[in-house]
Amino acid sequence: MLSCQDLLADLSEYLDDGMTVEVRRELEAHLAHCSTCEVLVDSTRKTLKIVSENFSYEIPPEVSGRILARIRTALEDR
Amino acid sequence: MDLGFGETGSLLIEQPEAGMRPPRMPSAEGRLVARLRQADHAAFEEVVEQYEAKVYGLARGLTRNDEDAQDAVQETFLSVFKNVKSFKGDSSLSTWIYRITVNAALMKMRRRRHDDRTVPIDEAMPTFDEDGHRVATLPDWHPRADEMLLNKEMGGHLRRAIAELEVDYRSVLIMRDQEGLSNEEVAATLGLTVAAVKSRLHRARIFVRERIKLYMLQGR
Ligand SMILES: [Zn+2]
Repeated sequence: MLSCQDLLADLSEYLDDGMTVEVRRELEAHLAHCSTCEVLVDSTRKTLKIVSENFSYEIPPEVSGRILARIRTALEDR
Repeated sequence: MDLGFGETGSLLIEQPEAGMRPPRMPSAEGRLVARLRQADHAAFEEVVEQYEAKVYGLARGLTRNDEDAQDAVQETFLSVFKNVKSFKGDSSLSTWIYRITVNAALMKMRRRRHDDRTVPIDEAMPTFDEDGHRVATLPDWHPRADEMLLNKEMGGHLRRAIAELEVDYRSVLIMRDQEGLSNEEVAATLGLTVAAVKSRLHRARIFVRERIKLYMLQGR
């Protein structure tokens, strides 16, 4: 039977779906009876979802325009 | 005229180990690189258009500072423009561009070292007893943590936790989880093995999650 420590060691791979079916099954057997690890997996997954969905920064249009302008100038100076 | 290339054209990050096979350059990319080498204006504009969002996201996530991020983006593209002749196609164009971006961002961060808020990664790692049972130094997330995750305060906790990551870990988390690059792309960009990327990512994710838990429990 896997311990909580074993589960934590595989947490990241588990969230990325990077395990073999057998290992995944073992982890899920542990999760089915361990609410501490269930909370760990669930909260980490939700946290990362926020990072991927809401944390990407939009480039301000004026910045984008300035970069292009500088490159044009640099090209013309060659 | 000073184009402000700075030192960002030089690669501070180690090159991938010898023996790692570089990915084959797709022909569309090969054609784009050829046009860049000929200083084709339209090709430079295409590159900026294609990569600016990722380059900005990466620079902004690393520097945590909008001004620095904007400078890093400019320097990155000017460096691409200046150094494309020495780009040998050992890595993909995107990897090369991201590597220049990371170096430009690191340079900015060094100048703001006084603003360093990082916490040693091991400080937030959970501890276990000999049987592998979690040693609970703090009670775990409240069942209603889900709702809290969605509120505004939580976003602040999360930003703070990411800012506290040591840069080796932060860079991997930003590239993988924020910008959605693959383990392989991150490995090629940082000159690491895929195993090393996964290991850093694993620790970074646990760190962030543990720090948020701490802030929620402290109510600050
Ligand atoms: Zn458990």
